Amino acid sequence: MAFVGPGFLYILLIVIYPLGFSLWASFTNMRLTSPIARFVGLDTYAQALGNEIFRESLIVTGLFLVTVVVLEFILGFALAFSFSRMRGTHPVMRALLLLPVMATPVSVGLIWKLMLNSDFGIITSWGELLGFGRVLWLSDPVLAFMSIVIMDVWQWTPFMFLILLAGLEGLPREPLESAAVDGASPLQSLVHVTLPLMKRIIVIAVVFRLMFAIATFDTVYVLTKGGPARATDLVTLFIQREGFVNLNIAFASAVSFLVLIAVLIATTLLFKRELSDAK
Amino acid sequence: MPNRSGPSLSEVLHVTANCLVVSMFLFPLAWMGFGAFKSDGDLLSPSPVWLFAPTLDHWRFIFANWAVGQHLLNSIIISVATTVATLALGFPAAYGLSRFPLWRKDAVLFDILSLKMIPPIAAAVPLFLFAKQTGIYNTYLVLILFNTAFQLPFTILVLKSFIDEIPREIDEAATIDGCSPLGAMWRAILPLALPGLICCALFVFIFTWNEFLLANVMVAGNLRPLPPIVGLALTHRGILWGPALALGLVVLLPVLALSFSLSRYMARGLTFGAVKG
Repeated sequence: MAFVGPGFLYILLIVIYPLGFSLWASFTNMRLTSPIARFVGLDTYAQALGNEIFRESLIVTGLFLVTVVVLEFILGFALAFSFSRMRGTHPVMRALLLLPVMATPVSVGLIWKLMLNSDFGIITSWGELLGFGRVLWLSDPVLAFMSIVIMDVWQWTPFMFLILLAGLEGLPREPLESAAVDGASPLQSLVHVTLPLMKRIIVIAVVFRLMFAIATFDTVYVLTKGGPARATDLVTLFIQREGFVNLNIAFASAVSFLVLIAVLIATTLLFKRELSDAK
Repeated sequence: MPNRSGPSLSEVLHVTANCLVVSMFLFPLAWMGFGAFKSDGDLLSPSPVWLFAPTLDHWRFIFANWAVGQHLLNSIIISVATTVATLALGFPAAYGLSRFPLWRKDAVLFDILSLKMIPPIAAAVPLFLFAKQTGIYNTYLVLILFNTAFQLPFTILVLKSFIDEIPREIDEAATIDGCSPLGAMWRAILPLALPGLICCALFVFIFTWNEFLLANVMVAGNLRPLPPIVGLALTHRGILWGPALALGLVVLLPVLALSFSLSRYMARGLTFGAVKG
């Protein structure tokens, strides 16, 4: 206990305290401009669930999460599979591939804001060469949503790649060899041998990716600020705006808690068993 | 598999294809790097300019007008202090979790991980009020305190995965030689866990360096680290693209340099020790 104590106490103080505070605030009508708060029970929650902008941002967030995780998994797996079959993968290549993952998110937003700029962005000018004309990536709602997806896929596919590659390289060789001896085609042995063996690592990769994706804020804040017409308004941007721009603390807290509960339920369902198996 | 005389054509194609994919992922970073050294004319030209005479104008501009030297120093102070504090609290906790029985240990480990799953924005408003009430708003301390708390769950789990790999006989030998549990941790385990500590230190440094959300609201003016300054440069009307890119590169370069040396531990770090890569 003496070892674990200080660290845990610290986490409790700085992480649990604000959560407790939020929980309390979410049952009041607290605003930053008038901190004298009155207890209003579940009113704020009802208000949040009835708020159309919040519901829309939940839909945008859900759509974003599903799209990026699916795309990143497929691309990451294909890439990992390709690398795992290459003779003598150079470690430098892997290290280079990981740079987008660690890159500062605000700089990532800046890079894509530059490349997708409608006047001088390089992707816009490539689009023109291909006959699409000047595509206004960041002013059209659908294209703006695609933009944040492209940015996220660029940044996080290498993450999926790396974890899945670690999994592929750790696989035992015998099952694949005996499948080949039994006359399985490469596709058959991928579906019936490799994927089942990879189950645990796939769950880890997807759950960790989901966990980071839910917190996506900086990149989108810099690239689109939630616009145009709230097409990229992730729930994190919504909370930030309510809390720090509209100074509506009760409302921001209630929304945070709704998101938090959703995250905890999802991760517990998905992950708890896999994590206990791992130890 | 025995090595044949040389690579076959399909192998060459395979390697080339993979190299191409890697360069596609690197291109956006390189393009930003070029941009930071282009004159405004080249940078804002409607068709991309590949060959250009490099200029340092934007660099002079950001150091002269945006006080980048000061913000760079802030970033370094906050990130280094957070790293030291996180390791000092995290190492004993990881050692304890690895070695000693604890009530409902699995549940505790899972709860540590769950804490990390909380989107930081969910805690930002109350932390902001806390900082205002205690008077630590707008100090280095507030960012060091909060970043340490946010990095601790990660550090504890990753360090535990490293310490789990050190045989328990080492502890026992140290205890037989007359070390207290604290002494065993300090004298016997710490040196062996050094790779893990370095790995965590680099990760925590990078995560803190990259952190934008808290830095953007907890401090103002001269005390801000670099990321909020980038945010500021980009959300104003009429973006100064050249200086913005130079600034973005100042933030990015140390991260790229450090993450390169981390690549060996990347899989383990990014899954909080769940995958041994």
